[in-house]
Amino acid sequence: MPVLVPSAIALRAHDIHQGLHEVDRNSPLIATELEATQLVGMAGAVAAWIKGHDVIHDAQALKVVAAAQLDVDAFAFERVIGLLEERDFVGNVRRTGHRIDSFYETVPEDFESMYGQLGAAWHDQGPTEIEGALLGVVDRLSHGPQRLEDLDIAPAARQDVVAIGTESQAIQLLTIRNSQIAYSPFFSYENPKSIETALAQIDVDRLAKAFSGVRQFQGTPLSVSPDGQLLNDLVAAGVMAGPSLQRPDQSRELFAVAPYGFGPDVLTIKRPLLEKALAVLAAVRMGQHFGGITSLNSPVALLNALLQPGRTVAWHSSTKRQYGVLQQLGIVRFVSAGSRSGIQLVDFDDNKLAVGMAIDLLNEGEVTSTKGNSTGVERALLAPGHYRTQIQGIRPAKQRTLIPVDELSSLVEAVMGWGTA
Amino acid sequence: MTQRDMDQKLQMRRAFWLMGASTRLEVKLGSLIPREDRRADRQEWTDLDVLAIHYAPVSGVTQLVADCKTSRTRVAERIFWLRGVMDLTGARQGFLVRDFPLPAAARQLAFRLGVSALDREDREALLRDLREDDPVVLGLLNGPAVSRWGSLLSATPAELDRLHRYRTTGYWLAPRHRNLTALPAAVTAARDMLDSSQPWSLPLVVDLAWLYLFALVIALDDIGRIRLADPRIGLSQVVVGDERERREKDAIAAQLRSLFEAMPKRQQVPAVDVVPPYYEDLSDLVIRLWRRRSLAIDALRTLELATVAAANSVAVPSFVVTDFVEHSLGVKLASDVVRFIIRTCRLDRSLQGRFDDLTFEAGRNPFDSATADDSTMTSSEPKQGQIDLFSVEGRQEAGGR
Repeated sequence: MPVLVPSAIALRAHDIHQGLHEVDRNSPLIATELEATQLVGMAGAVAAWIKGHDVIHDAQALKVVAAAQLDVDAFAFERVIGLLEERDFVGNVRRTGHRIDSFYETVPEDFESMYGQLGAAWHDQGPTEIEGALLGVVDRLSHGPQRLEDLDIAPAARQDVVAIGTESQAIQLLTIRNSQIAYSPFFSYENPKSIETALAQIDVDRLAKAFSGVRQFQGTPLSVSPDGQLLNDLVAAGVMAGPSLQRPDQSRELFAVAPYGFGPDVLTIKRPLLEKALAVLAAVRMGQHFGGITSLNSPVALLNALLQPGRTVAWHSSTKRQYGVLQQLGIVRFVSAGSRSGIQLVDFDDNKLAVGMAIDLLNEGEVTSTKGNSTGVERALLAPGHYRTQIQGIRPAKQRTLIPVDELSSLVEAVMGWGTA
Repeated sequence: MTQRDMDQKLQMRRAFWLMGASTRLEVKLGSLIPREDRRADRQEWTDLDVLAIHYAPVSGVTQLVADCKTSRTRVAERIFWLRGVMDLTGARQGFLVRDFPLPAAARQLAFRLGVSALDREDREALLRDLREDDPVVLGLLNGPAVSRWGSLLSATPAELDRLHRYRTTGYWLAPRHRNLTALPAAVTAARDMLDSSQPWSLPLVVDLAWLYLFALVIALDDIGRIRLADPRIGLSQVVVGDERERREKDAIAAQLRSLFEAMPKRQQVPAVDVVPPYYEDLSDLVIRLWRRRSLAIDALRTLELATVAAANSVAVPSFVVTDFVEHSLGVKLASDVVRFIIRTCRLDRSLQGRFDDLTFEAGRNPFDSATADDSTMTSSEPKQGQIDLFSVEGRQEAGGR
């Protein structure tokens, strides 16, 4: 079993849960060996979603959103709420039979406390040795790559741990000089500075330029970037964050992000905030690049307006009742006047912080002060479809990857301090 | 006190309720005195017949007081007295309430001192203007219901006398910020005697929650003055004090820790900190309240109704119809305060369920059942008759019915 603090256990369980998107959770290995981790991971996803909402009037609607956006199976929903109820994260749960109708939200304000209590719940679930080892390895690799043979896993569990870890994308493998190296996409996500430092040490100009380009334009849509293929490969390799959104034509657009400038807590224990911020960033970039003839000129201006108390932005005439990604993520709500509708921020602290972080990311590479046309972004924000977190972007990116192994190897070697440059 | 005095107090309570405030009857003011053998350690200055409280973020805590008497004598003295009580408590308005027509000179004096003088005719006009036929007022803030509440709370075992002394006098004697920690301490000390199966248990706990929420809204005022942008810093100063006080307490805590270490080892050495062990929960509660502080008065009014409702075994009705969803958040905030007290003082958790059952109708969305079968957040258009409760107009539509 790993010697992890409870908050780290729940954080990694949440990571693994997100990584299992598009993976058959009923496969024998995952279903039997990952039950506690999946349950706590789902509880973490739901807790982060409901945090700050106070009252969930329609739990059945949340169940639909949880299935669509949080990968919480509809059959697991009641069990997840039951676990949250045991931990006092929800109260006054009203049920009709087994069906949950409504409840009060009482998730701790502090993410450390939230994940800490969920970590204790993980222990209470009687986790298997494999999932204990898996969480330990994922956490260890989030601090830096390691030779596969050096990972502290009991021999009997090694094969299963690595299989589940790679299946969930939480463990990436690379062969360097005949040695298998394991690394975690969360390393680059949680330690962007280390990647930057490593890039400075290796002789792969195009990688360095690609990273620099993303810093100049956070949320670069891969399909329109001249470095799109390379960025796709970096996302696939798990060394760059690539949240994604479904486009109106049903294809998936990945947005490259290098989340520099945030404190270590935002990159780890407060990651739900960053994930909300990346969702906002992806949405405005979608509006900026795929808004048609009325594309958004200034995402920053729109988001600044959204932060003003009670301000309604992104008016649109034809999508009054259409539910969009940010609404499903609990970030905005709809407002209507006549035939037009717009969005308002659901104004609690986490949402305000997330929009502020999105603005910080946008501002990192841009100086934007003009008032933009909101129609394009409105379409993007209101577009139906699914948002996917950065770890969930790895699998689709892998399907298109062309990156030469030696370039990636150089990067990993530099990170590990084995570089030859 | 005569029954007619009580009728006046209840009339003023209803008037204050209808004006949007929350009220408490018979509040004792006084101070602690040096403890001597066989003598009480506190003395009363006076008592207030009716204290009304309102809170709004723009104006902070507003207090109003009413003096209700049926006697015809000493009107001028009572007006001077009322002015003094207003100054002492920081009340913004004072009401002198009498049954008989007030002399013109008394009205002049009241006007000069900023006191509102109400004889029977004025009072009836006030209540008429405020629509005293409000169902909440008729159903719960009436004489029999309030008497039943009073009888229940006075029927508690003698072991709870100390807690009652805190409720009725100690709370009002303490510097206001001290009640954030004094109330949990008083309840925890009485925990073993708080038998949740007794009919007085829930009314008592809800009444304590009302007192705690009142202490919290006063803290909100202070927090806003100390550090508007970071309520956690404000709360820390409210609970611990300024930097000088914190350093003093840190030094005392360090000395205590040294003392404990020097003592022979025991099984349990108490943790020594400048904040109480439930501070994280308190911080959570304050942040929630701060975020929704415009609804704090709704929460206070919910608790006021709930304690009477619990004593009379009836549900709390909804009392706001303009924005139902917002109001339900106020009911939920009241539940948060009850939950905090139950968790912090480790009371029987069934009390929480009973409180939530009691206030369920007050906080329930009446359209839940109509939309539950077919409402989903992913459907692109609402079905006929379905209300989009995630949109502002949906909320208004629901609240307006």
